[in-house]
Amino acid sequence: MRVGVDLKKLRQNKPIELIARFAFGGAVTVIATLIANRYGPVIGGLFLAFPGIFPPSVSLTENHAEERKQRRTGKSGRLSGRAEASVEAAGASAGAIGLGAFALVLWKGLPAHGLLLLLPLATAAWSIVAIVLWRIRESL
Amino acid sequence: MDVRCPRGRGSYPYVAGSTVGTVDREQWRWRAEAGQERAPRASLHCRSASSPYRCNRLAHAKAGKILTELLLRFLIGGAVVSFFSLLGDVIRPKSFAGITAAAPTIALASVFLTLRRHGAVYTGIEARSMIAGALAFFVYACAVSFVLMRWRPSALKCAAALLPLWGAVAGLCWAAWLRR
Repeated sequence: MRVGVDLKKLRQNKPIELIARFAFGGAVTVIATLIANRYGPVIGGLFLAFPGIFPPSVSLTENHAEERKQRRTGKSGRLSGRAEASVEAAGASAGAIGLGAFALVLWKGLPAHGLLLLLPLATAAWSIVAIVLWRIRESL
Repeated sequence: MDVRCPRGRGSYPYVAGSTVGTVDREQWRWRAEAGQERAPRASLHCRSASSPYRCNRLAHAKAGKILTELLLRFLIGGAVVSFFSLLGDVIRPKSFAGITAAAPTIALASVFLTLRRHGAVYTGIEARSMIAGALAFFVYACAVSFVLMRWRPSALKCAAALLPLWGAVAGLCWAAWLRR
């Protein structure tokens, strides 16, 4: 399947959704920090991979897909919206393995190397692993 | 009874000299009798030059620093999450865009500040734990995808209801690997 970018989809976002995403993301980051401060890095590190933005993300996907289907066909797009959310969740599972690769690069790289080198490397590891897994999954 | 600083958000105790700790009534009475200290006046602010008791300025500064850091993390975290979220909106197909739902947003937002505050060893330990968190995320995302496809419940309800699964897998990883 061809990968592309559809900038028109940005118009689907309502201002309140953008604000909610920003606030939710900020709140999850702060909560993860507070947990790390309270219980230490071993427990705190787990929450660096907490799927905090995942539930609102799949919910938005469901709503947008539902609205699109309803606008196009006039029929209820509830089920197709949920199917699209399911497909996004399947993609997220590939991203989660990539997240593990991101963490592995940081874990093995620190403290010998600086973050300016490690962070781009780790981000590249996340995207490469996630994309390769996605391609394997699509080819099956 | 603790003697509280009247301007210190009501929670920072007076500190006698350079000693850090709570000064209670008995303690300063004993000190006053021994001629070591004068009894503090409750209305006297810690910064007053005439006060024999000084507020723990270190605690004030530390609290301010922590709040500034949390605010910074909130802003950076919000920006990073919004960026990846918008990226997920414009990418197609949706299965590929799903990758961005598992982007290392929290880590990217906080790793620089964590390194600056706690050092590389602490950040490395967090990264090791993050591997276990990512494994838990994988199991959770697979479960959400399966349940949504099989029974088609509301996406938000399904994703929220299955969050304890993430906690359970992360807890198992902690018990089996990280706790040692």
